[in-house]
Amino acid sequence: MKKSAFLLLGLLFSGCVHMRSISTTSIPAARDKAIQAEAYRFLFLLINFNNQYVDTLTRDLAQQCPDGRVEGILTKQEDIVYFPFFAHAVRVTATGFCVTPSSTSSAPEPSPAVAPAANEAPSGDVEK
Amino acid sequence: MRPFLGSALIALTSFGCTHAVHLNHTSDFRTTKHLSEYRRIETRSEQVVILGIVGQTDYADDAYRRLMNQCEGGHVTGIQTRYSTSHNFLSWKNVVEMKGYCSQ
Amino acid sequence: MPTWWHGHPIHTLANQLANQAFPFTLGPMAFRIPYLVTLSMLVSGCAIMHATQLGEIDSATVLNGQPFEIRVSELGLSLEDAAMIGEAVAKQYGYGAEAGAGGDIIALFQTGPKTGNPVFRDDYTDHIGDLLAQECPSGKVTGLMAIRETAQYPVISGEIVRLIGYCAKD
Repeated sequence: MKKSAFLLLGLLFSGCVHMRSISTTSIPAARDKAIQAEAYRFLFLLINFNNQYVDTLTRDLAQQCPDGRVEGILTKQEDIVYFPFFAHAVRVTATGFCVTPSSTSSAPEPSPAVAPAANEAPSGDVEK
Repeated sequence: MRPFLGSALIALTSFGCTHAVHLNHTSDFRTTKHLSEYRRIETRSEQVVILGIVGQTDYADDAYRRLMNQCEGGHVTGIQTRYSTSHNFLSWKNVVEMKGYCSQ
Repeated sequence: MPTWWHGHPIHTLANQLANQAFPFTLGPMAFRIPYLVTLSMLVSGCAIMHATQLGEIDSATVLNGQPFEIRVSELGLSLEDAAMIGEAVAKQYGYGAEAGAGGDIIALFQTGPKTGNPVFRDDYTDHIGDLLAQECPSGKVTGLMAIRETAQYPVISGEIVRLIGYCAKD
């Protein structure tokens, strides 16, 4: 009875994905070319000896954008449960935009400048 | 037994539900003018999870996409990202809030 | 030890925690060691780092600019610790099981992932952007480090978000 209950609970919670962390960098005006890179590590019995699998993310993004800059990078870390305790995985995805000199020819590039002005109220939306 | 169950219920109604702020990240600032000249934009996405059963984290991507949509043709900088969870009875609500400065 | 201490709830709690944490002792004098260790743990604080993120760095601004630090915090409450203490106290009066049941019911209403101890409002970090704008109105900010940490004490904690950065001097 206990074994079948454990199996049933394991199947119920398998395939669950939970987010661990999220961060983003400044988003460019030119968003024509979206690129993405992913680092994935399967964990058996939650055993993990190193986190070097994420080291390739930066290079993967750069290879997709050899002649420009990668901006607006959304980095998301997820925990995936295939079967509780026995089979887990960690997935880190980085999505961004490749900004090349040709794509920014019409969009203004930021340059340092300072001019004091009054504060504005924020605008926003909420979605459930 | 009843006094303690009653105390538990009183404690729950008095204190309310709890929350956990997992992280609060602020991105780089690429500014061309004074911060007060930028338009502040913000977006919020939520995901209700019951008994921990959930198969995706698309709400985070939705928050990011809607933040960009509020600043069409402009660049968004100084993005503050807050990821938190609001606890409830055998369920919880994941929340991603993003705020930034839009230059158009 | 004075006689009143042996019936004191903190003495009872420290003994119970010591017995659970250190079930194996080595003789009549050795029992004092886990007891004292547990008691010292109850009265000490602990700093826990949950996440650290570092942004882009403009070296000239960092070396010549003005550093600033923004810190916001909220009181966190560990209901597990509070329930444990309540159960230990209630056991003195024969209501240990009921106190445990009450704690379990409260725990059911706090299901979900947690970082540090739960807090009672989730918007205590929302004004960080305004504080940053006050610290650096020009917006020429670099080297931003965002830290999510906990100052852990028995039962309560400080759930802290710190933002350290450098603002270019005008």
